[in-house]
Amino acid sequence: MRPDYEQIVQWMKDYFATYNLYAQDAATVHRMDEYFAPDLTFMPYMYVFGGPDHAITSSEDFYAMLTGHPEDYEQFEVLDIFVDAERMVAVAFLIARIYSTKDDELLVEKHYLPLYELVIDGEGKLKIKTIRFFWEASPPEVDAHYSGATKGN
Amino acid sequence: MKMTYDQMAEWIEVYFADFNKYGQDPREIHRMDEYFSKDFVFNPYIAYVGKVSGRDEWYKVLTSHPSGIEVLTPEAVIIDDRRQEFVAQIKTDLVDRDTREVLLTKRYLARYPLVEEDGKMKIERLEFFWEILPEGALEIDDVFERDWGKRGGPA
Repeated sequence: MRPDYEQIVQWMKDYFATYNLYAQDAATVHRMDEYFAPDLTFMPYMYVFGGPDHAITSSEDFYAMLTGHPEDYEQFEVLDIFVDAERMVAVAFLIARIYSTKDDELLVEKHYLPLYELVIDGEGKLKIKTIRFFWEASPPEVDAHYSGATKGN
Repeated sequence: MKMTYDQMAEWIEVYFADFNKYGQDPREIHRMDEYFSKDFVFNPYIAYVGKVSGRDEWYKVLTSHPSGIEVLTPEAVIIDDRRQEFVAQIKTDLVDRDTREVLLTKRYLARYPLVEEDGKMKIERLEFFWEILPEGALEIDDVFERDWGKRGGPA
């Protein structure tokens, strides 16, 4: 059954809470299976992640990226969620804060505006099929550090 | 007066068409009064690009680069009629006015909250994110600066 507006908003809130708890730990990242379709597409609109022509096309590859920077971790604060229930699309306006795993020092803070295309899977569950990912354009040296480009990963 | 989902969809389609026709031409720019509120704010999440407050200041920016014209194509539109907002993923082709050559193409993701003004819904703010191209790639400001260089800035 298609979810209504309120259901999608709540589901997205639950998604972000779950992401903050489990998505960047290799031991728990598969809890995100509840939210991501196996054939998830992640399209980054920034060169440090290869740009939109180099999308990630599976949840497993996305998990590898999420858990590939154990020296720091990302926490989302949700500022707003917009929902087009008719088209099954949500957009979130977020502040992302990156902390050092070693001492929880705040390293970077920036705004994100990701777009989430949703589907109902074969079991009738809502899943994220595509993420179109835009972030605040910080000075280039900040983005390079943030993405791990200066850390060799 | 608030718009329904279908009214918003139609309004958005006409807005982008009118932007492409009138939104960068100083002789026609005030046709965009139909869409931008007087207190409109452009809020870019882009380093070194400043916020613009007020419709007239916004029009100065839009008409400040006559030799390079942005042609906007909305590729995905997300309509939140409850909140009277929409989000659009936009392909922009930056076209040389004289040669019609497409100088660069990039994507925007923009959020448009609407506000009622004089009985009509208009754009209150533009929360603006854009695709980040590799360092050294031709950028929009590189093209706009062909005009800005003559006056020292966008406005």
